[in-house]
Amino acid sequence: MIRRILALALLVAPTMASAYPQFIGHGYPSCMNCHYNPMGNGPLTDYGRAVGADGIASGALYPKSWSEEKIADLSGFLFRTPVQKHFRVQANYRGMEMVSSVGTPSERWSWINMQAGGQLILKFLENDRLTFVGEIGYNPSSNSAKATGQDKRKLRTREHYVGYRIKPEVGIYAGLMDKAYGIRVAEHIAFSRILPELTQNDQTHGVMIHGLFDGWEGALHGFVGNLLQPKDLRQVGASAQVERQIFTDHRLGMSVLSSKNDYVKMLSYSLHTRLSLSEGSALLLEAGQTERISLGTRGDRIGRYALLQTYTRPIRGLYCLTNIEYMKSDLSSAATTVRWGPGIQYFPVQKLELRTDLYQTRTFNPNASTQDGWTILFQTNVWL
Amino acid sequence: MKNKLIYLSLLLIPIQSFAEGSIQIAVKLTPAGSFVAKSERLKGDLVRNQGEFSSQKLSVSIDSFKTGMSLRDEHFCKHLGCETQPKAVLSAVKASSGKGTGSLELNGVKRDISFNYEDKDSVIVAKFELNSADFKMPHAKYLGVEVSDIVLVEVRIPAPKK
Repeated sequence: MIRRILALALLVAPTMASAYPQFIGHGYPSCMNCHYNPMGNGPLTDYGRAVGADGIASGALYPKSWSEEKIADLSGFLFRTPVQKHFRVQANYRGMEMVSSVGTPSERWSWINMQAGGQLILKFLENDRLTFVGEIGYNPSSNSAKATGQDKRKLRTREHYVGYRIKPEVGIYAGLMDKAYGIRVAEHIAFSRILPELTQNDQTHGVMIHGLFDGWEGALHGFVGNLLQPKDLRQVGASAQVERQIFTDHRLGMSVLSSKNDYVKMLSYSLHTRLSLSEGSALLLEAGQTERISLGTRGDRIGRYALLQTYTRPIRGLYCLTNIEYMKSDLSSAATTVRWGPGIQYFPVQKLELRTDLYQTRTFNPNASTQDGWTILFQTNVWL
Repeated sequence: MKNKLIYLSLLLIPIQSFAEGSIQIAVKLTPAGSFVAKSERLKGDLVRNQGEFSSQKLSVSIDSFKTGMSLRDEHFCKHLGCETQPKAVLSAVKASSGKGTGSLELNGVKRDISFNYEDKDSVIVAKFELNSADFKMPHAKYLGVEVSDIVLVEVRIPAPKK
């Protein structure tokens, strides 16, 4: 069962979003400086794009005569500096060469178009207090969807919402968004996103209140499920996430999520921390549990997960990653899965990310013997 | 006898330090975040005399501050007026019993400041708040992210004991 989940997670659609909570290592503990969604993910603000150009990407390939200001000025759509303040267009593509079952007779190389989409942002009032954000993009079909003939939509919207900052510290957001829960790591295949069902297509329509007060940041999110889904599948419920800043640029947080549809009732809760280690380097840790209560004939299940990620920045533009994950998808089962591996994330110039990850997956099960799984991912992420 | 006189004179004269010190400026951002601007190139003399400290002049080149981001370094330098006055200068420093005063010249403006300090293993660690508006700096804002006018300054400078 666990191997099936892993295979599904890796093969279905390992779409990744542009949300990088490790940038707490750059002095950004909150996502809202760089993203229109204060909980991260989705389109970047003008400031976020400039930070991406100057603080994140390497400057080595630019002419030496170029100032940092000039590089920042190129961070707008199609390398242009915006001439008006109310309207923004963005586009991005992420693709990946995946090598699965490395070193075995069934080794397989395949290119996956994970994400290709466009975003439109309208913003009004002083300090962009009122925003309208919409995203639409290519919807990769999963192997299982292809097999069953389901999920035929070639286009999919993963975000469309309106946001209003009542004051700088408080905002209210309504529409289709990711649920506020845990560390929103880029890897949708992370166990910490799979078990609570927070993967690439798990956005929900709802209303979120976000606040930022004196070292505290949090969000309360009430939701009714994705209204584009059949009614019986929609997960209706609420989630909350709160973080407390400790010292400078270190955060401790906790989350809870409760939801149900016609078939299952879910309760997830987690603790996490994000620590800034030095300039650009960070450590992320999350541990949580998900209780699934079946409202039909299938059995109940409690699953547990943990995530540890470290990011070290030896030079500007380059991040060395370590990813260690633990999952026990059913506490009553003997099987435990551990996945770990190093990675390299490189931003040679602005608007381009190259990333390589190596994953080793091992299942510990006293009742069965399984071979370790090795997977290599080569990703390219381009945004305009 | 001659050696004793030399030794005695060494004990009685004030100890003067010319070693380089460091400065950290903690800056808060709105809506969220912060950064620290650091320079290891604080220069000047610090005289220790029976529990009291004094300095005629401590200075630091504003372009020596690093904030962890090149664009921010450029903005920081310009905002502090490095193009017209490349150095920040603290003069007439007097300190004793954990408190001190001095005169800070920055961005072409000279103002008296006061600070608290601790003597940690022959390193003086002084802390004080600065309001950038007092030094005629405009409120800083870049692409929607604002910088707090009030910053926390921490100065570290060696002051060897006898």
